[in-house]
Amino acid sequence: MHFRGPIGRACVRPVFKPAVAVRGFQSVYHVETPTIDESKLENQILGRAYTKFVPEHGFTRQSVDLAIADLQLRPENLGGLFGIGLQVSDVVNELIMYHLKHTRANLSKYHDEAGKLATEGAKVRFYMQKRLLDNVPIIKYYHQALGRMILPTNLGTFLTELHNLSDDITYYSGDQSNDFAWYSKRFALSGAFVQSELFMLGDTTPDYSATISFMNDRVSDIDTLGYAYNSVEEWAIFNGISLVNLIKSQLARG
Amino acid sequence: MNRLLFKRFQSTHKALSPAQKAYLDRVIRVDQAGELGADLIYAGQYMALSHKPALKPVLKHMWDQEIHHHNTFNRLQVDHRVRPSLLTPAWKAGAFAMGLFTGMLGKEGAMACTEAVETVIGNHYNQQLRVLSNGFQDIEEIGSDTTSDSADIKSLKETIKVFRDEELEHLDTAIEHDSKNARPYWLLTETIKLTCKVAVWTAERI
Repeated sequence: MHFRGPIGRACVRPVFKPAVAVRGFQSVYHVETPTIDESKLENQILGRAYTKFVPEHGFTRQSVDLAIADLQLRPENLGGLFGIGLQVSDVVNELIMYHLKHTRANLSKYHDEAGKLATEGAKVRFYMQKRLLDNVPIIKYYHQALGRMILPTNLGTFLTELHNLSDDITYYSGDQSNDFAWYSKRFALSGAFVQSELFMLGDTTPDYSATISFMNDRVSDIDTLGYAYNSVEEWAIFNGISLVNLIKSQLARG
Repeated sequence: MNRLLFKRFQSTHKALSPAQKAYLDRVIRVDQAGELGADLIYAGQYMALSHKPALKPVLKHMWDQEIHHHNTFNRLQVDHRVRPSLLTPAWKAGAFAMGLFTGMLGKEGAMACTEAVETVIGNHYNQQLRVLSNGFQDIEEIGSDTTSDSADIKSLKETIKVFRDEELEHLDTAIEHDSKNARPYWLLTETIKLTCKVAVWTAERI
């Protein structure tokens, strides 16, 4: 159906809704769809733009245009590519999402190294550090990306991706929580990650050592909080059982 | 299982459809919450009734089986990256309170509670087994045209079958121990059945 005039323009206004899959059930016996499908042309363009042009030109339309030229594609043939398939005209949002997914997928390279670490906390710190340092090539322009992520129309999508990141990190670190701690861990980690990223924007120390120690402090806070919660719970259950036994013994005395 | 994933474990089957994934997600979430509830119902009943020597081993046996079920689904939830129910604290408190309350009504009350709960859970597991055998026939193996259940789906089915049988044993045990003599029998069992059904519906979603 085609509309003309202002209604028509409203109808075709593109919505930023890239395929951020909510993960759900996973099984090692079944093939998983990759985080980024590199066989797709739009991902090849974004990948070229991200690795070659974003470090110089930032998260801008120009980086994508340069990547298209670099791949020797004709821009006039690509009109539908980012508009129809992904329902988005704003290719910059796609570029930012590419950065987030690319760096998240990158974490799977570090499993062997992380496997040598003893505790869950150490593994969380390790993955967080690797993920933060993956921002380094584009850190100069990262404020552009963050500014777009917090726009109300984009926020939901990017929060989902942030949650996917903290979910991956907790899972890779060997999280075994089965109750509400599952949620609190992931939310706390997402918070720590965002704080560390904001800190990183203003960090001038070489090799970002200040950011890393800031991140370590945030993760330690989470550990302390979890320990405090568990201790209080244990104390409460112990006293509850003692109380019941006290009442029982008094009743038995008659 | 966690380890296997990291070593680029060779998958044997093609991807599950989003609907199948969503269904398995629900199955594991609701069964985990249910077994957590069962575990704590027996904890409450045991606290109220363990002073009766005749009843203690019966309750203890059923409770131990529920603990095993609970641990099994906890492991499945972690391995398959399923989100646990958000209302877990509520399930904990509610189930323990239900066990304690029915236990304080006496032996018959506790057994009527077991009867009601296990009736609902038996039907619930049967329903899941029906869907798992009807809705998962189209998963192709990699490198051949045949369809089959992957090892994970097969073991999930087996687990649910075994657990269903054990829950129905508890139902028989409850009836043997005079659950029908509880007063008010109808009100008690129907209220608990309704509560369980509402909890199942909620835990599947939230």
